[in-house]
Amino acid sequence: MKLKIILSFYIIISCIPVIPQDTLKILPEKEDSLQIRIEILESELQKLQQEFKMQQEEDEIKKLMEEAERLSVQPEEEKLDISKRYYSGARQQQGLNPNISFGADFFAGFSTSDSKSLNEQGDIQYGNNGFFLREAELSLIAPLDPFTRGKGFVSASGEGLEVDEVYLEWLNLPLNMNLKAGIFRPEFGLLNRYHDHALPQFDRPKALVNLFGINGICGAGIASNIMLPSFLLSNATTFELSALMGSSNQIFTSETYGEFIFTGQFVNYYDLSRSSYLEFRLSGAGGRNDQPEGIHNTYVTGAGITFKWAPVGREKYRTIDWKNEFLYSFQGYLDGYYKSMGFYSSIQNKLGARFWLSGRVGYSEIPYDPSQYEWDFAVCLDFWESEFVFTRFQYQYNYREIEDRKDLAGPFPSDHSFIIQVVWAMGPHKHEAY
Amino acid sequence: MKKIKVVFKVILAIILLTSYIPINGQHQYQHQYRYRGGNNSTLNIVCSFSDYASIVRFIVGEHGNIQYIAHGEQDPHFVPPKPSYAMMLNTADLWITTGMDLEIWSTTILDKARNPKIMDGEIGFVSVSDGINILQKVEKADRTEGDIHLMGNPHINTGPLNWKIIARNITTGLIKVDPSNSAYYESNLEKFYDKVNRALFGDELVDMFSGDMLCQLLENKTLFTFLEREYQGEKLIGKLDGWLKEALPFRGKKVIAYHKNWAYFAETFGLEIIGYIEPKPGIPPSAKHVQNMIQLIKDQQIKLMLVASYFEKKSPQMIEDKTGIKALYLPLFVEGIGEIRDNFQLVDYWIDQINKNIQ
Repeated sequence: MKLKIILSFYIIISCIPVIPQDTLKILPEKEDSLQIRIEILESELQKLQQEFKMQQEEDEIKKLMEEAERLSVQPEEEKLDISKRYYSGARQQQGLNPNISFGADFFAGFSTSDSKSLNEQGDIQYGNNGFFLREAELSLIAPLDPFTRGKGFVSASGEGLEVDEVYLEWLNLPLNMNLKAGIFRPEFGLLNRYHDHALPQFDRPKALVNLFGINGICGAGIASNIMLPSFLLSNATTFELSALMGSSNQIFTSETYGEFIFTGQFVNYYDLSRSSYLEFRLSGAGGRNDQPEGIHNTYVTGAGITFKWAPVGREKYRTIDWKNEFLYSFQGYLDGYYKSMGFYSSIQNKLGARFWLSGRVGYSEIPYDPSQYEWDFAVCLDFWESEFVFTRFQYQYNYREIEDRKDLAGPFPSDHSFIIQVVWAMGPHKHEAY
Repeated sequence: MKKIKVVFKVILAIILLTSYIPINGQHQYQHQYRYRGGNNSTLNIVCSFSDYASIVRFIVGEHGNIQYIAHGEQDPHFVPPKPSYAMMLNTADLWITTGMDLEIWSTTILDKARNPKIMDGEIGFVSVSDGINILQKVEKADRTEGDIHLMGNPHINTGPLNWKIIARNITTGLIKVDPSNSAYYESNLEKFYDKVNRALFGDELVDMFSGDMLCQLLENKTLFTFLEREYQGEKLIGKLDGWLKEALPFRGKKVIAYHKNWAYFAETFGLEIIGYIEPKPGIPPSAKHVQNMIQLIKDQQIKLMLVASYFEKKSPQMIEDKTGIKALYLPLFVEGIGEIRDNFQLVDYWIDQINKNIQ
């Protein structure tokens, strides 16, 4: 019986697992599901944490940005200021004034010659013994309108008040042309455009003085300057023609109404390197001169070469500027033409920021008597204390084979001169050389 | 006398003949960035300085033939107005210049260029300084102050913050003369802005706060205050990169300079310039002034002197010998030395050289 009971219990027991086994089969599935849910929850948690972190970062950056904005903007305080005064611009038009400059050219001269005819200021050669104000010059420069520039230079000297140049220039006209009208110095040779204070030496070379006087060619008229297409591989080519009236020159002496001086100049410019260039000029001038027997034609031709070396980056301290010009003139008279020639060679050497050493040699025949001539030799040292003030020390020797001049009373001995020149300028104007 | 006449006639003949002889290689020295695949519509752009040409190159891309006048090692105040420059400007569509009173020499060549399109105020004239916060504006306008610039310090190229305004003005000019490519220029301008921002601050800060914001902070001198703030537990200064990070070693250091060339650079990178070898702008140093500078250097224990490479070396060398200070000669413009081809390389070079030489 016991065995039966044990056996039946065993059987029952052995059968029991069948039901729980099925039940246990379901439990792992639930486990998986729970696991998945846990994973999902974990991932969601992580996501939330990440979002929270990002939100925190964003908030932090937002705060920083707000601070940055606060730091970057400095609002101006706006207060009512009852002490403030108000002005009208209607009376404040000074901004439209031209660029005004005032310059002076003063010198002391000492010479072995004391001939008045040579020494008188404003004549062939400046006074060599004494103190002189060669000129005080007022310059006014301004655009007149979008199309034109106006320039005026008026100088005062021992001879009174004189208009150096007063002209307007139309820019950018057709045919690459600029047109000038007024009283001006036309393009002729290397130095005619230079005002006295800007010359490489104290005086103009004798070759120019004997032809055109101490002031060069200057007069009232018109000039047209044309930029030509590149010619013979040049880097720039220009041609200027001018017609003007003027009688102050030595060689163009006609004062008859309607007589003109015509000038022309062709310039070919070559950049040799970044630091040096070469420029060729061919110049010509024609006009009339009064002779006792009548009025005759006069022609002057010139050829010039300029070489300039200004090392890039060192222009302020080193420059060599070498100018050479040859002139040939034909001055008409009853039986033909007097033919005379002249030349000069001028070299300037910049020794440093403040010093220039320069020299010149020149030769000139008297235009109406080529058998008479003179040489000039000059050496000078310039000290520039700034761009607007310089002092020049010049020694000059003039060798003359001149017995007689119809424009001056002799004698005309050779002479040695020593000149101390001081030039200064107030205002913005500078001499623009290249 | 007959012999002299013969000699003169021969020389005259030689001059006349030589004026017609072409000179080899005469065009090889024009400074230009040339787009060689250009077409008929390529713009002809002339700049006063190489730095502006370098920025134009970023903006104009393939649409421009760019030339500039002053060479990179040249004193920008004294550029001889040669006729060849007038020829260069004669065919220019755009003339790009500082627009202040630095290039006084340019008025002469502009008047001779016969090109109405590029005159002041016309469509082809660009003043790159427009809108720039100009430093050292003149308080006393007379010559006792030397060769002053009436409109303030015009050496704007030394400040990278200014480049963005320069580029904006250039882009405006380009769009005016070539509106059909305006989208292209504007896109390049944005790229240029981004390049400047990243060069100044590095990528991370620019991505976080935008370059414009950082530039504003730098201009207001509040950038380094801001960079002291913490982000994620670390100070923002740790994220600073680019030129401003490279320049940290000399930020706040005292130096002397030859001329007021470096004002904008010093403003951006925090150099303190306490004296100049020139007693006044444009006035060469006198012996007495040099002695004063020597005393100042000794008193203030200055270690570095910045000299634009176009200045004379005699005075800086004398000061070097007597004080032990280092004179650092730096090109002021792009292509001032051969390997520097754009503005970014130029500032890289300046910072690198200052770091190497400041003690």
